[in-house]
Amino acid sequence: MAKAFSHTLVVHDDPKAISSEAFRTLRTNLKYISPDAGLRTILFTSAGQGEGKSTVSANLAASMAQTGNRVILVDCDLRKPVVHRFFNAHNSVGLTSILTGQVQLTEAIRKTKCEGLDIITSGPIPPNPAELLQSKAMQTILEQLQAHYDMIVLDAPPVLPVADALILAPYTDGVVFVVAAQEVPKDIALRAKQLIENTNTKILGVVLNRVNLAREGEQYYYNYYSSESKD
Amino acid sequence: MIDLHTHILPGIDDGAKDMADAVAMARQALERKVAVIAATPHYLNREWTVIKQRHADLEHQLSEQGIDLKVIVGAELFIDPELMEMPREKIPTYNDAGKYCLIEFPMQELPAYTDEVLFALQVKGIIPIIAHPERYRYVAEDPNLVFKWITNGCLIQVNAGSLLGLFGEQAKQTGIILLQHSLVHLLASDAHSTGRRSFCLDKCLAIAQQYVTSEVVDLLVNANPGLVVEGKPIDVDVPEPVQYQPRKRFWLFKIFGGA
Repeated sequence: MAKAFSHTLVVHDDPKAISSEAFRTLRTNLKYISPDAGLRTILFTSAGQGEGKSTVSANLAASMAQTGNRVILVDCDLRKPVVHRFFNAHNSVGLTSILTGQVQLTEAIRKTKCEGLDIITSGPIPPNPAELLQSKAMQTILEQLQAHYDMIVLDAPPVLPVADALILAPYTDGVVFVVAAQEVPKDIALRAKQLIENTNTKILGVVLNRVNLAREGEQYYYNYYSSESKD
Repeated sequence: MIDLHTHILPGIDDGAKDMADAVAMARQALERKVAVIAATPHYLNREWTVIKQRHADLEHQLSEQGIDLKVIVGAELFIDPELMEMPREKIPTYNDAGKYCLIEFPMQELPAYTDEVLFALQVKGIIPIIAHPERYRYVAEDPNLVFKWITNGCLIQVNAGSLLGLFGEQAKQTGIILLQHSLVHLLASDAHSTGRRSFCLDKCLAIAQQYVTSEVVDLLVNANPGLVVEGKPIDVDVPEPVQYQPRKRFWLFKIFGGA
């Protein structure tokens, strides 16, 4: 079982927290990776389940919106979707509703408490997620979104258990790979990385999640900073 | 209390035989502290308009006789691939509101198309409420099927009669497992008459309270069914249901483990 996460949007709820600072750094890094290539559609994935990719993608999307970008976060994890939980949204209508032709794209887009950030939740969980993501309809959705948003953030399932993220990767400008520090064996992470590279998609970078700050001997430094910033 | 699974409509299925029978059932419901019920006859022959007509007849009869029981219309669907092709408004739902439907599965075998049908209903905007899973053989064998249905967006209705032992020990024990693991959203009577399968929600409350708090029991017989009647969403995300962990059978390992 995955641990019980609190699905909180720290960059919105607590902009001065250490992790909010980390998301801003990530945002900046992504911006400078390829200033000319026009990074528009980014896919977030990980090797296995529960490494925190949804937390990272939701917060990064919110963080990008804070700088005035029009951002949309799409929950492409049609197996264990959680994006709706970060925004206290209901998940009765979403990506699968569009892909099956039940609603129009615009009907499934929802505004959030974060200015500039819209979301599409997964919708009802389908019996055939890979087929749906592979469909022409999915490509069309991404093209339509690219016409309306500066940044499209896709939250995809992990790479090793299912093919979904690898199906989506070629439609994007790059993949951000989230790794839970001290939890994922090196060979597993490398295998996942290889699978992504096989799709000829650029890996933009790796986010090392759940780093134990105390263990790294930096706790004093961070505490010092965070207590000062509250003044 | 609110009871969303009853076979009160006269002469339509194996429930109430005639109007007199139905009126007697309505009186029994009130005596047993039920204020609102849903009429959910078996939906087998595609007669949704007939069901709605019979419901109107019953409402009329109850008001004539001054019986103050609120009855909303509904149906107990049987899982069928045809449901995938039907337009939303043709599918029988509670109050004909297109929000929630009650659906049952075969007792012995889980059909291969189950997940597809449940998904098709949901993308039409209809939340399936799965009727009495504790009575299905395959659920007794693997209660985590219910966990999967819930995480896929369905709701679960357990029969009060199952907890009372009306459907045998296995259904009772499975019902208790589902309750203990927060895998139940509604309790209902599945009343067919004033006799053996009657309005028995009141009787099962004490049993349910042995396994969950009285606040949870109140959710299952009042708050949650109330939201279904109003066509409002039920928040099942928080807290997440607890996945059933089968007990390890050590003796089996001892016997077969060395082979």
